[in-house]
Amino acid sequence: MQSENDKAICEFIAPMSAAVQVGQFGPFANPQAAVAHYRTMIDGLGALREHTSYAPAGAYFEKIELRPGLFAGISVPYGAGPFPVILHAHGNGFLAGDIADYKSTQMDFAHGGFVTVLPAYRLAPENPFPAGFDDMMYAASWLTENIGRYGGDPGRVVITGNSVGGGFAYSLARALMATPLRDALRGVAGFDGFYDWRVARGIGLIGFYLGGNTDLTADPRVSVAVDLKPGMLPPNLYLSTGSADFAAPPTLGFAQLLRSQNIDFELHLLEGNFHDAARFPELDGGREVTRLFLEFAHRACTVRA
Amino acid sequence: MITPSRRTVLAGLAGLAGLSAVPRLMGAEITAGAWRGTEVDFGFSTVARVLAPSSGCAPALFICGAPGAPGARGVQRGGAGPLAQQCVAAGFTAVTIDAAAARGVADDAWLAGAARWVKDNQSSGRLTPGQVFLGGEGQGAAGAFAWAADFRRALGTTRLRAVVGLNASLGTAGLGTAGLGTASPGTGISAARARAREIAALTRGDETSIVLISDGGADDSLALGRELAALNAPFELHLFARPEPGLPADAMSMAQMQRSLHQPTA
Repeated sequence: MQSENDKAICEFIAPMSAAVQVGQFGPFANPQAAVAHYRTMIDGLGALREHTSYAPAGAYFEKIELRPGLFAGISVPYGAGPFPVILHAHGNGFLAGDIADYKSTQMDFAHGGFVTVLPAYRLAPENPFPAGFDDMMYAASWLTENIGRYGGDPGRVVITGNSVGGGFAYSLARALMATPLRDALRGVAGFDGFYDWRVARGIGLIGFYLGGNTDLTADPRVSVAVDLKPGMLPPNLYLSTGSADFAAPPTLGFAQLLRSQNIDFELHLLEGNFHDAARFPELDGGREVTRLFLEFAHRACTVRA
Repeated sequence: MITPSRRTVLAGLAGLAGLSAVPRLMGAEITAGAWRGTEVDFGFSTVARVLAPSSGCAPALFICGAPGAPGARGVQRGGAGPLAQQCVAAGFTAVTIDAAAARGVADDAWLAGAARWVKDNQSSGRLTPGQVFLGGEGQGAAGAFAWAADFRRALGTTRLRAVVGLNASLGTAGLGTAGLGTASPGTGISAARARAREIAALTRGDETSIVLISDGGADDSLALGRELAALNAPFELHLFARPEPGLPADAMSMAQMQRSLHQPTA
């Protein structure tokens, strides 16, 4: 049930949440105007985040360079490792977002006992698919060789992502299952994600991500749902969304696809949570999503399916 | 008001239970593990079995049993079934209901009795004021959704905070052959969607929350969730992975119910 605290916050933020949807669905005179509008909107949300006083303890944060030009935020729990590892694909429509925007998410995960790496993958439309995807694949390989220096255990990795990063994380995990990293993958989690762009082409600015070639929505690196079969994903799957989130229908649709393929998963839909609610630790529902995910991730890293 | 479909499901549930044999044992106490169980009659021979924490007051969680259904845990001998015990362990006073419709009792009548029992016991400090929930497991969840609107009406100003479906068996997988909460097969997709609209209506005016929790075999909950999402209804859904060796999925569901209803840890 939604708390009174969350009801008040959601009432306050409802116009902004609606603006996100306008930003994703609204008509624009030209692509440049659409991208500019979207980035302005994301900056506005970032400014809102700066006015919060949330500061989790128990971990430290560094900005590192994985390879020339590819930066990442890494958050590390204090104490003796080795800690399991999270590789996170951020959201913001493949068009915007920086490491700083997701620092609270990273720190939440680190505070929960995971060394967390969040790469600043290349953004569209300047760098269309597969540039960002390739960056994340590189980051995954980087973990194997380097995460031990940060107290991480390269043998226990969970891939996560929020918003468009949710489907991104699943596609990434699917691709990694065909690499030597397969045995290290313990799970994958999508927060408020989109998993099949073939049926959601109107949502978001996916066209910019794909360089205008919407036929690429049938590529499993874009839409993980394409020809998905048992064994193609890591053993533990997590999905979450909110009843006020426009990603709820795609998430539930993907869940039904998983069921139809007899692929097991865990799903949480919180009453009243809007899109990307987990990024707002002021929300009881946002913190609940993070708590549920961390419980899932710890189970995934201690028990193999 | 009793709709034909509601009367059908209640009659079906009660018929499964063979409720004509239910005794009237008002006030009788039944020892059930660490808790004290009491059987009460809300009037018209509608029997509920109450399991309460041994001390203090607790929120009331009315449980619609799925009597006769394979694996049903709601209504068992003495009201001391595992589900009721788990609910008490989770900090609730579990009130397990036997259906009344098979005996020709209008549910408006016995629900009014149940509502009066809630108010009296909230006043006396046995139940937590303002905390009334309705739920069920399996087919019992269908009964809970079927009763919810009438129960809320009977409670009046004593708000029905939430309806909880555990491992709900609603006949909705893929919007299948049976409508939500109906015992009659073949009602089809339109009936299922109509019932989804009825369930969504519970949330109007921020009155009653919908909470669905499942620990595997979640097709029905997922199908209902999709319909509720399509209606933009506020609701909560938790689907845990199928139980694995060493992982207490059932306990996870109960813990989640406790959290979802904002109850303190027992």
